[in-house]
Amino acid sequence: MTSFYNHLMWFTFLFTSFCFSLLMSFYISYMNQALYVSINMFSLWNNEMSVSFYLDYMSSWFSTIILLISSVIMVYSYFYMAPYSKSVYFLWLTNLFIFSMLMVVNMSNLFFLMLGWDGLGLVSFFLIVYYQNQSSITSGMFTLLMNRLGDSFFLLTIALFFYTYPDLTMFSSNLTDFLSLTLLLLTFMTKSAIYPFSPWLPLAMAAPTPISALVHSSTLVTAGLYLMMRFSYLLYSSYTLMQLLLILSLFTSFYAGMNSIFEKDLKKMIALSTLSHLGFIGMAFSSGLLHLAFFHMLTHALFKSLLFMTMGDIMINLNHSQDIRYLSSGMLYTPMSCMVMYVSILNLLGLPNLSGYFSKDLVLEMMNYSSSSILVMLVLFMNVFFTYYYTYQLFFYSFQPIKVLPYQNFHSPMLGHTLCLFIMAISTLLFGFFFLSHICSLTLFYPVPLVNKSLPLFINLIMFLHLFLNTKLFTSNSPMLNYYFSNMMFLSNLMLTLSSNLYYNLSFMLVKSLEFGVLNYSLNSYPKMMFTHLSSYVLNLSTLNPMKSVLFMSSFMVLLSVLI
Amino acid sequence: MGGATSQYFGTFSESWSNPNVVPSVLDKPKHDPLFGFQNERETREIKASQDDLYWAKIPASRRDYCADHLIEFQRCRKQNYPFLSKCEHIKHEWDHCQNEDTILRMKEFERERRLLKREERKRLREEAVIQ
Amino acid sequence: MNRLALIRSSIIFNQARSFSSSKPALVFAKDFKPGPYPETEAERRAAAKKYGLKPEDYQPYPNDGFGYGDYPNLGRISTDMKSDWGDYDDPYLKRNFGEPIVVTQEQLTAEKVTLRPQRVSFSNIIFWFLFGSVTYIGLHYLMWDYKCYIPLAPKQYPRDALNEGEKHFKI
Repeated sequence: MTSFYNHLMWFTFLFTSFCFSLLMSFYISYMNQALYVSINMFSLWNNEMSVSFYLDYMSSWFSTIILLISSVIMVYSYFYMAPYSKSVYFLWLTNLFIFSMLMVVNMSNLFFLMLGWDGLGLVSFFLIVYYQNQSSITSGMFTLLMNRLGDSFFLLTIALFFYTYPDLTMFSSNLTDFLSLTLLLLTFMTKSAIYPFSPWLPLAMAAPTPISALVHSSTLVTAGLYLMMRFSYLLYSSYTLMQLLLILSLFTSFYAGMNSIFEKDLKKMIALSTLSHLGFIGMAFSSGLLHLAFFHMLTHALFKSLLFMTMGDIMINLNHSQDIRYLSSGMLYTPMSCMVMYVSILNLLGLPNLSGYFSKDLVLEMMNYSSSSILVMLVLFMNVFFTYYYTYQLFFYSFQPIKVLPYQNFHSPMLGHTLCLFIMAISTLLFGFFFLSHICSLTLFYPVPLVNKSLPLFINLIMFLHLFLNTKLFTSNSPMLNYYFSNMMFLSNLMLTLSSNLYYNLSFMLVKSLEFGVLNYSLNSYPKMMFTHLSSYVLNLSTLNPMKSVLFMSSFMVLLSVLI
Repeated sequence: MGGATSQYFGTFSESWSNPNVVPSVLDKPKHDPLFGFQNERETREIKASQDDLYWAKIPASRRDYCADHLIEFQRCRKQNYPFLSKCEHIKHEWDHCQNEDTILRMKEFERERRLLKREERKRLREEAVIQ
Repeated sequence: MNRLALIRSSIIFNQARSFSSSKPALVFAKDFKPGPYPETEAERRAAAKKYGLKPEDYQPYPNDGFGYGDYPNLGRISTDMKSDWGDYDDPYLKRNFGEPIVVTQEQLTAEKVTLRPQRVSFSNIIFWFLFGSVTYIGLHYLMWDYKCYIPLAPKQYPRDALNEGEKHFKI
């Protein structure tokens, strides 16, 4: 029962923070200003270490959305994980994560930004391995190592920035050379799972569903894209890098879409949908549509986390089976959850006048005006096709009134749970129009040829009819093709070495040749042995008499301090 | 829809095969704006000066020939926030002006394209005469 | 007092060893090192007994410089290839007490490396990965100059009209 009050307390705290942040965002958007608060901790000569917040409309609106999603997650996670929750541990990790994310969003001092960024990676590892079994540890290790790679790039860029200008504020660097921009871009690509660094995202679905809804749909994966938008003043100066980002983001969307056609696991399908949208946001950003990309990031966060949450509700009925082939009769037995899921699915499809339409279809229209190649447009529409395909899969499989499992729990969610999901659903419905008219009031709506405008709707209709007539999953008879597209064109195979023990053999050979061979001879031979024996002699002496060891240590420290 | 679609596809696909017939989307038109006009062309005017645009804090990409309406719109927003439905008619004026501007751009593009095609035809006729 | 003497003697002993011999000494637990390669039949039987194997099952790695002394060759079997339903003392490692461990066991547990024959060979994986990515990305770079745009003249700004030629309406 205490866990209920814990969750409730955090829900109220986060919800009040959300209301406060909402008012703040309104004020900042109304005044069209940015707030810079800097608290100086200490300073040494010309460097200073200060906790500095930079609140402009981007950071305040993103914080608002994050706080809304996290407050809903607090209630949702109680109801979802009630039978087997380690509530204190869970709440610690979730709150640390939210705190790190808010630091990443609001901080302008690069040191504290780094703190939040590293915190995101670390806490997401602990959240993934929350259920301690074998598959979650592999997923967690992979996520952690990939995030760590990004952190190393981030450290390099911070070092480069600090070298040129000794101030760790975000907007103080004017480095536009290729190396620093490449490193910067690489850090954001690792976190946001753009082309080479994406296999961790479907694997991270080993985390519990509320964590997936919070972390892997809206916050962790968009942190990289958000910082990319913050550093856009640097990144936009390099044509080659933006070209590369465009191509890689499109590729991410493309193979995520192809993978989702062959995917049978529910959560992995939604993870791949997230990956596809991340590629979409990266593509919009690289084409110069900064504000639209940000807008799509916000709306995507809302409806994707809602989709995860409702999918979790439906999964409870299936005894937590994540197979889409078992997903049926959702509409018949849990109509409320299904209706809320359809709200988020309608956003995914881009039904007009919902948020998904405003953000996604606007980007599709504006991409016609960016001088991009014909292949870009073709691949873009193919990604739209994939989106419709997997969205309709989810819809049809949950809509069918065929009961597949012999025993199904009819777990209809409780009132508080449903109310929170309603809050999210209403916000997804209203947010798009509201944001576009109130905040992005300067958006220009260019006319677009009718073929471009109607093609998404046409594909939509075709997909609906096709899946209505034969509601079954697409499989191919060739195992090679299945394997190829299910593993992201073997990217995840290569990264995880599921197919060979190449890396382990390599390290084994290295150990045998270096540690047992060359290094053994060079580091453990006669002259250097003196040092090891000196240290062991000292340690042996210290174990003789505590008094003697204390005297020795204190004399040693006095000697050191005198020297310094 | 067929005509517009074929025109849309025809324009950029022609730019791949025969680039000197298709005008550029990014650069200014090469021909003299008054070429071929018997009567005078009206000039485009805005009432707001560059200083007005600066003090109204309009972003540089929106400081075009419709910026007067935009200044009015921003002023109405500031006065009526958060009841922004009262500003709909000014926003519609701005949108209408932008639409007119886009149509003008289409006409400019078409004019440039016809002039380039005319020069191409002249060039081909001269080459045929030489041979 | 006795302990002090032991420690002093061990230090002197190690120093004497390092001064007198040029062979480098490892700080590994040399008790766990496998013995030398068994030449005779008696050595083979003793080694098999040491590792808990029957003499006919015992097969050491060949002594070609990359071998492991008398450690047995237990075949390329990883933990996930063993039966899930067997009655093991340690179900995680799928091993009974006293059963010999494969040389590279640390690679083969915890879903790290599986030695099962895969559906797609490694060279196939490399080839198709490179094919897909290089084709896609290369195609993009090749077709980058074939643009797809909407036919509009560039936007006219009043600030450009201040310096050079004026802009005009078209009726």
